[in-house]
Amino acid sequence: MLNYLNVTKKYGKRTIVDDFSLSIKSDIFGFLGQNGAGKTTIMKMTVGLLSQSSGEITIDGIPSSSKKSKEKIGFMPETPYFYERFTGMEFMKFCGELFGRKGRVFNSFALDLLKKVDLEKAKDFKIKTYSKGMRQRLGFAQALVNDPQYIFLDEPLDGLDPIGRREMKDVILGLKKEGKKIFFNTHILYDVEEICDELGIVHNGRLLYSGSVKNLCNGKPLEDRFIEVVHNKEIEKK
Amino acid sequence: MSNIFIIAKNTFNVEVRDKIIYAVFGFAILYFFLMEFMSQLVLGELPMVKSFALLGVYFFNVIVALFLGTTSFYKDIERKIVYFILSKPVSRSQFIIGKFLGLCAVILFSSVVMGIDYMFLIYVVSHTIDFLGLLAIAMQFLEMSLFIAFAMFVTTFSSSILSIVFTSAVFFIGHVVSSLLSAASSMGIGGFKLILIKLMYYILPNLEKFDIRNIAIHPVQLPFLNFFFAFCYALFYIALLLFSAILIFKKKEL
Amino acid sequence: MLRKILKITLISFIIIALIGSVAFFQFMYDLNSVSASSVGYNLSTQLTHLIDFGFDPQITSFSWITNMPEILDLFNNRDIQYFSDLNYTTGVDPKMSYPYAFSVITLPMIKSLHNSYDIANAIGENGIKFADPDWRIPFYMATNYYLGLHNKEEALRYYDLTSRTPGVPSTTQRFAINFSIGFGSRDYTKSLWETIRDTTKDEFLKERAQAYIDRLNDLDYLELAAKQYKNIFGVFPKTPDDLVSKNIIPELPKDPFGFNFIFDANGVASIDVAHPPVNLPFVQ
Repeated sequence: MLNYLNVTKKYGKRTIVDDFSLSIKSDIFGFLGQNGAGKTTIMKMTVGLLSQSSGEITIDGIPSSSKKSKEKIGFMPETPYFYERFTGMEFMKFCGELFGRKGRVFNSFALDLLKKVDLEKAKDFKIKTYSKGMRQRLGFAQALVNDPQYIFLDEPLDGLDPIGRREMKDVILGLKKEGKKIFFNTHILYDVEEICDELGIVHNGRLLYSGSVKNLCNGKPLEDRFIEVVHNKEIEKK
Repeated sequence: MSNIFIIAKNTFNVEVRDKIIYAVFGFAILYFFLMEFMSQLVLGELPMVKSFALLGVYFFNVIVALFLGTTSFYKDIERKIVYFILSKPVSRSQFIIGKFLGLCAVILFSSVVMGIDYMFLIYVVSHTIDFLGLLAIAMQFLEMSLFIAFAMFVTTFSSSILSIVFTSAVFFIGHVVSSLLSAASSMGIGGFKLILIKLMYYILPNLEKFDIRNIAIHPVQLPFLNFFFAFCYALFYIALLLFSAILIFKKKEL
Repeated sequence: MLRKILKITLISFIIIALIGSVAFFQFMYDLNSVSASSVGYNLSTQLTHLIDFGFDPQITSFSWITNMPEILDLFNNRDIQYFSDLNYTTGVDPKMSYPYAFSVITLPMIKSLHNSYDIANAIGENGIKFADPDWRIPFYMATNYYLGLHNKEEALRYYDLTSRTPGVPSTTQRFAINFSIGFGSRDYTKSLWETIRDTTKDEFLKERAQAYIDRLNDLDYLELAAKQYKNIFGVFPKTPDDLVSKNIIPELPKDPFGFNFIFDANGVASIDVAHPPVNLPFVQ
């Protein structure tokens, strides 16, 4: 279970994440919010790239940025950059090595991952030659090298064409079937509607809503409800 | 622990691809013919040929070390490649140490290639084998390692361009600081100013001790103990720089 | 709170310990080092030392590349840039031996330079004192004393030094050891020039040495012809032209230095130094 308890992140006087508390038990959870809402900051704190100013983030009771937790985590950053001179397969192997995974068994596992994201043909080409969509898919594949229990994806569908988006969503649903927990950031409402069990609305570093999509929508379109919730908060502030 | 080796290995693989390999072997060829020409200008006088040849090796390695030290680590941070690495069970200290060792491995590769080239050149010019020259190149490698550690240290808190400036400045200072001290004492500067200069002398990296080219060119008695001291100096200074870099990097917001 | 203070203390301690170790090894290194001896530095060499990162040998070598050809100006009676540049060249890295060696053997060839032998040998003295052991310096100095100053004692001293200098070729060593035996003989002088010709890479010096060898061979040739003349005509020829007019030899050999050959009363050939040539084919 992923748990946020009074998490705050401040840069000097600016507060990026404000007293964020949330418990997630669902299988696919979407962090929904506008650009700059703080979603990426929250995810970075979760995977240990940033440290919170105060509060705790735990996975199964253990701090999420600890080494033990990291063994169970997969992370895909937004607009991933790679070592351009590596091939896709080499990069996968490098990531696997960091978990102590190598050898023939792992290599075929990595190959399967690349197949899953439709990068098998390009596995021996230099990443320099990859399109944006291919980089997204590689970023996704490397998040799975350690067969993680918890998978964090930052804007995973960004830059994919419609077919790619469909395929990616199928992969995510497949991962859910394998019993994994997936958390992803997005500002695309449609994606959240389609595959999330639950969602959280993040705005100005605060959690405005968390729960199932159905409960939020109450019959209305998600877009309208989202705007309502955010708008209300703005009014509240004033 | 093994993470350090993995990062080092991958750093080496990333950097040595294409660019650096071509640069090293290309320079090695160019170097050979250039030095051959220079040796004719000095009528094959071996000490003079050695002086040019060792300078060429040193000059090239300085350029490579400067380039690698200031851009490789910086690019990893700037292009957020570290996101992939640090979200995995790899600590920041493992990353920095691994990165450092990987870059040193690249310089080692370059030094070995140039060392062989140098030996071949000296053999062609004089039919002798210059072991002291190899030792000079080995000491240069130690200096380059220190140089890279410094470049990485500076990169943790400044941009790529600033770190090039800082690192180049330290390179100059590192070679000039001992002459400054002797000039100061011979000019009779005393008191507070001298203390200040002495402080700079001990704290700023003093790179002259890695220059044993003069011993290779004009054979004198080898101060064997000095190699040990120079080696320890490099070791501790690199430890100081990497430790500081890790401290800063741990606090850095990515 | 306490943990944080402990942590900061530990980190500070480690940093101070590392800085201390760095300073310690620098100190030990300095203690164990022999300081370089000062060699009559002038301002420009001092400045060079300050800023050249220890690249003294390289600066000297570069300087020498431009310095060496300046000797031609001296030959052509032009300015004496050579000497001031030589001061700089040998001042930056006094251990480079070739500039000294070159000066010792080449300067005396400049007839317009007064006391050229003394100047050359003074430079040689500096070379022996400051430069890496180089057999050519004492060897060329000895040659100057022998051929130029006719000083047998000094020549002997320096030939002896040559034979003891590391790196001396075995032929030269044998030659130097046998100096007293061969002193004054033409064969000895010829083998001296042959040694110089065979051990130098300097084309100019090679040609020069070969010219002397040719001249000595010419003298031998003329003396042989003179003996033949005596056998036929009962007296030695008065001038070398007699050999040609009487068909002993087809033509007169030409002295590489343009001088005329003469005979003495006993058929011994030599150079007519009293009547030097007007146009010198070989710069003297």
